[in-house]
Amino acid sequence: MCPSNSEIISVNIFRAGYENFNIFKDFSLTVRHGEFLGIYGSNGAGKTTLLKAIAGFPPPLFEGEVIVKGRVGYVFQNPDNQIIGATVEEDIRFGLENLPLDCETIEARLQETLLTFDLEKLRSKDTLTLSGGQKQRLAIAAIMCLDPDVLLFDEPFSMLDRRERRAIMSLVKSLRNNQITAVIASTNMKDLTFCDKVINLNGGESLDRVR
Amino acid sequence: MIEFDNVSFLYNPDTPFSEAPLKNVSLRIEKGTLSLLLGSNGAGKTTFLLLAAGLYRPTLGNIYIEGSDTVKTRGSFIRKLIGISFQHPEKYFFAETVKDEICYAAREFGFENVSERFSKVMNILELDANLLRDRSPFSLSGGEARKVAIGSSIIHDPEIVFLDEPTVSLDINGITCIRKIVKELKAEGKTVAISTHWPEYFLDIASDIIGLKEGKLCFHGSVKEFLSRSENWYENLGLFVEEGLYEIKEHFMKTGMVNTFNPVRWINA
Repeated sequence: MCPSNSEIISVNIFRAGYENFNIFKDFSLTVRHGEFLGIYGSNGAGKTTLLKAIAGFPPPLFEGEVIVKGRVGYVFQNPDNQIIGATVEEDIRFGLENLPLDCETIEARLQETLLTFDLEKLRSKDTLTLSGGQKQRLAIAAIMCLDPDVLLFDEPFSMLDRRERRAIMSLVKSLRNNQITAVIASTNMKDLTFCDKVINLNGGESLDRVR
Repeated sequence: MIEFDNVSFLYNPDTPFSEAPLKNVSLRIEKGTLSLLLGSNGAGKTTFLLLAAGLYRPTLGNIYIEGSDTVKTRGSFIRKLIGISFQHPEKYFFAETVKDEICYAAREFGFENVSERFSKVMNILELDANLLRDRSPFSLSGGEARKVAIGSSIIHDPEIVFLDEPTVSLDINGITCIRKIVKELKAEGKTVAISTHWPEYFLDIASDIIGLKEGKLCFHGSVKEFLSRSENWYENLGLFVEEGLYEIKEHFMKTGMVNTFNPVRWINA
């Protein structure tokens, strides 16, 4: 765990991209411990590429350095890329059982997560039959229960209905008090209103929003 | 015309996981209309579209497309009539290049001017054909993938188009572009159904609203009937009267007219 206010993520990219085109050139970024950073940009601006690079999955062409001092949790843009359990409970359990936790802690965290994310009713439901929004809620729950130091969210609210969007947004917001660091990517500025700072990948200036 | 006659659908029937995402739905979607399918997460919107497209078979009841029963009619007849863009487009990609992905239906149905159609569709989608033609669809960004999926659903000029949450992960330009496509489809007399949590993006061009709650049809009426409801009622559909919807409703209550789409205020305010 990093001391408060120190750098937890440091990105220095000389060049990054795919096949024959660059997405990033001479790009650098630092995120401080406990900071919530928003990444705003239009489609194809490089939001997902940047998040993946921070998570340790840089694009095929990559020259640069990424340092993350802590455990990373990544919530994918498409929850289907992440959900592997046959039921909602199994999917949440999978991550927990792969951490060095004792049985009591796993059970307690599972219960807490099911309650916090309003998944108790869906507990035994086949994950293949969940709706898009329910899958997104599960994907966020399964990562947040692992208690990572850094949370990376790729369009985390896009498929949620308005009621769930409000609920999950306030949950993510509430993490600010837990000294977690988060990076949230979105095409919609409204998803980023609770961030400390928003960087604009469209080539514009960074939009500082200290709250 | 699309007709649902007392349709129910069960996932995993006769197993402990059995559940019915759609129950006893009866309704008619008229030819040439734009319907918005609204409802909370898990209300049955996607199941409704997959059934209407003939990709799922109803467990009970019948579905008729242009008078033909989707179960009894030959699959190719239904497929030619319908274009569908799925909720998670990248899950359904299979071709090696963007061009092959978009052109699949046009080639399968024997259209001759495939390259011309491809250029036209890329133009409508505001995508750079030269840049993307030979790219793998799996390497696209979320927004580009959604546009490519929509392109592949309209390349064969279908009479009916279903779009499942078409504006998800699109930026302001993308949403404006999808609206333009939907408007053009409607002007050409096509039947379009869109599932969404953001009705304000399409309310001014929609013909009717279909509301689902826990798998049951809870509303089917005109946009004006939809806007006349009391504020609390919208929660049934997972909606709050806020942002764009608030503006449209306020304006409607004062003037009886439906506001036009305002992307700058409603998306990035």
